[in-house]
Amino acid sequence: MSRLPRHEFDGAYLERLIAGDPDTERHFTRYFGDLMSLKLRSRLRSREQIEDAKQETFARVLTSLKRKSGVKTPEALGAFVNSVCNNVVFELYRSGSRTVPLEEEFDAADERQPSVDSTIAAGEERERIRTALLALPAKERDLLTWLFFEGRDKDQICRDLAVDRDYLRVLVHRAKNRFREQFVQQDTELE
Amino acid sequence: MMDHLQAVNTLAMERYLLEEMPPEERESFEAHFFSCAECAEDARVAVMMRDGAAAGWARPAGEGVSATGQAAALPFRPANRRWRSSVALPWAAAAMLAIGLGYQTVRGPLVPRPGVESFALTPSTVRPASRGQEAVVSPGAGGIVTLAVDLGGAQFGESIGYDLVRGDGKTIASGTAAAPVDGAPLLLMLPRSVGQTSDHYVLTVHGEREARLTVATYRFRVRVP
Repeated sequence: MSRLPRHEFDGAYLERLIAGDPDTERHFTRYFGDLMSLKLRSRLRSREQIEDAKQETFARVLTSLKRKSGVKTPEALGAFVNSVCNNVVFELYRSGSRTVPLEEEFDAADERQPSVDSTIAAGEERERIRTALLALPAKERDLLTWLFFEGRDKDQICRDLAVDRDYLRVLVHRAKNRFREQFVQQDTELE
Repeated sequence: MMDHLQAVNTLAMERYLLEEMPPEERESFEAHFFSCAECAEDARVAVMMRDGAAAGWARPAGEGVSATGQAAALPFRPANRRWRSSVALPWAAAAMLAIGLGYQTVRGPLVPRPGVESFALTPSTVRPASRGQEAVVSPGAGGIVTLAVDLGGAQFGESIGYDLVRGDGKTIASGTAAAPVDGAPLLLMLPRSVGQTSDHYVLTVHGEREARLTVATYRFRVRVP
């Protein structure tokens, strides 16, 4: 199956990051920005809080790297970013004025908001994402729309489709794989 | 921490997207995909797919978009900027504006009865949708549904685009409105047809220049007594 480029972090990458190489910094913020976008939307309620948390995480990680502390091996960079991000989120929960702690009845984050600097915000890639989505079969487009645009109840979706929750995951899995193929295919056509 | 085989065999990313993981497993999986190149790639694909679908891009082109402009947005521009330091004041002022300016602002779908110089609009507050929740709103005077759309502090340019889609997918209204000042809601008076029968609706608002980048989505159900 075609995939997006994978990234293994090595010593040279860290050195470029510490030296402030613009391309490496761009890659770093984009790569981990996407991962944090996915992670933070279930924890923070507003886009502004998510952006604050991401920027604070980037700043702390880069500061630590420049002080030669925090990351013992290049392979541990991802774990370190995740750990710093967790700390930032806990601090945001605790701070009074800028944040709202999660409570039982809290108004959960609207996961349907694209974050500002996620891949979706870039105009060219936005079109690629849209094209890839529109290339999916109608049934998969409907499913994704029900789940993520309309926010329909998942049990109701299962009843409507006459499937169980296990099979709903399989349907999402297939849609994701087909989306990936369509997205990567555009890369191939551009080359 | 979850290992790669576990993540693949249990469709972890799909369960994560569908919010089916308990907190401990969610954290374990996050720790994994931050460290695993293959799962990180899967996560990036997933976030693009989900964000794109959340923006309404999985719908066929043209669906949910029309230029009918049947809804009326009521601009809110308080004169004194000092009042913005309070969150409550813009909302109170917006409610007063809706009450006081109803007659002058009403056009198109809402036609005041002859001889009535003004009447009160009764906006219902809607907040960004989450986890399948939807607000329940009832028509006010004259069967008109007016929404006070909580923008949640989102930053806009000078204008806001909006699309209103009924539960069956039919587009009810689309248009643009001047962005309210920070902290103030967008007041939106809906076409009269909305207040005639009980139904489900999805309202999306977005920056006008970033045409289809959905800033927030609101779900609500109109309940006609």
